[in-house]
Amino acid sequence: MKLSLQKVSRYVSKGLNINPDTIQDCFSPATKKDFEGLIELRNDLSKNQSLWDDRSYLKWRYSFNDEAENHNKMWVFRIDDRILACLGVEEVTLSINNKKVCAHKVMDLLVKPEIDGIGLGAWMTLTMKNKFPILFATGSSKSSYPMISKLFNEMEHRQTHKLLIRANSKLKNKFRSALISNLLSMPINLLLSIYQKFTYEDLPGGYTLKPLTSVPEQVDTFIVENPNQIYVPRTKEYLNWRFIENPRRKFIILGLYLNNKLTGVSFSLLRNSAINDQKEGFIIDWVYDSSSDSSNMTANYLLQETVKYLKTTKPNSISTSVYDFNSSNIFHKLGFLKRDYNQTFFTYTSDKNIEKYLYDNKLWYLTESDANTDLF
Amino acid sequence: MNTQEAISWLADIFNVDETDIQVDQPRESLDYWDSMGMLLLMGELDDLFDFTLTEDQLKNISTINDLLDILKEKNFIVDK
Repeated sequence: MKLSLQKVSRYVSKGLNINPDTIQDCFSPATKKDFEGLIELRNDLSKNQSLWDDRSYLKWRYSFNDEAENHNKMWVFRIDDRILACLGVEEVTLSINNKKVCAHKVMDLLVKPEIDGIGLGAWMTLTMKNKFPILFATGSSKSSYPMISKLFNEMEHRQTHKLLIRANSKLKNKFRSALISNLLSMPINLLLSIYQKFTYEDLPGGYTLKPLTSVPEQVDTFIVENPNQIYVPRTKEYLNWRFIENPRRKFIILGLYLNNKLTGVSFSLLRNSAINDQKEGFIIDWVYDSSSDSSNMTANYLLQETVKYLKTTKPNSISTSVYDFNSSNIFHKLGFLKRDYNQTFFTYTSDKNIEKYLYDNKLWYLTESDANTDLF
Repeated sequence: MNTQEAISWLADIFNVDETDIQVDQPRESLDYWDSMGMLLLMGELDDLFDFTLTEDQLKNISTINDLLDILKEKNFIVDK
């Protein structure tokens, strides 16, 4: 079933009581003067319960300077200067079949509750589909899923993998008695630790792991063309923006060196679980020199040492989310297990030449870095 | 079309089984009849009958039965 933008414009205009010929004029990238209105809209919808400094987040993620060249834009829908809805659009370069193409990731879709149900969210998304040839969305909320799944091509879900380090909180949820769960946890924790001790390889001489405070420029040399993969190239500029300048989270950045030469960098975070307030680690992203790494040694060592480093902070578990068979295998070897918790992923293109690549699950490479939630 | 055919047509629009089309349930309780479902329905009404629901009709439709009544009134659904 196909819905044209022209038709939806008519229906939504009717719901908003505006002229369908002027609806497009109501939708444009936000400028500095929209900033306070956007904060108000977001506060309204989160009922002032935002877990991060939303002002800093918006300034970091989107441009609000009238003249500034920024790849990320928050689009706002306004009538008489009142912001009724917004949609974030991030411009990213995807590498598809060895060609760099411009794609747009849609996120942060919000509509004022009093006009919810007239189809404005769908109209804004359709407008973006008409405007940009390649779109994708890494995630959806319960309320946005029905709409996004009808307007985009739904891909296989992103999988989460989890390494259990201490069984205490898991058993506590099951038995609800601290005494029983602690007693049972002891032998399980011991077994987990023995298993991990014997599974993990000793780091060969010459390798060292160091915490970093910025992303070294050598990471740009790690980017290699891979015709069998669609991915956002992790440049130094992108990684610094994503992990150093990001005001929502403090990330742990670790560099793996071989004889003082950087061979890989990982990005992780620690958080307290919203369910049981227990500490958990999350490996968000990793880049490494794969030029002489046919057996995945560097990736193995980098991820293994990142796990070991995170374990020193005593989390109950370490998780990761990855959309790539090769990386999933490395995590399985490190004792990570697939979890039921999956995250949605959608793509769309109007370009018939790109369709066969873009809609192929096997070609995509995604990590949590490509999502926009920062795990709140 | 008759009422049974109309239900089958609605199931197609909402991408659900015919058995999910509960004619007397309030719209809010039907997951498939969200804003996107409404847009798809309006698009189909447009294409098939060249008909657009008025603002009043949109406000007053709270069940599938209400919608079917409007379509019967317009003679788009005829039960013999």
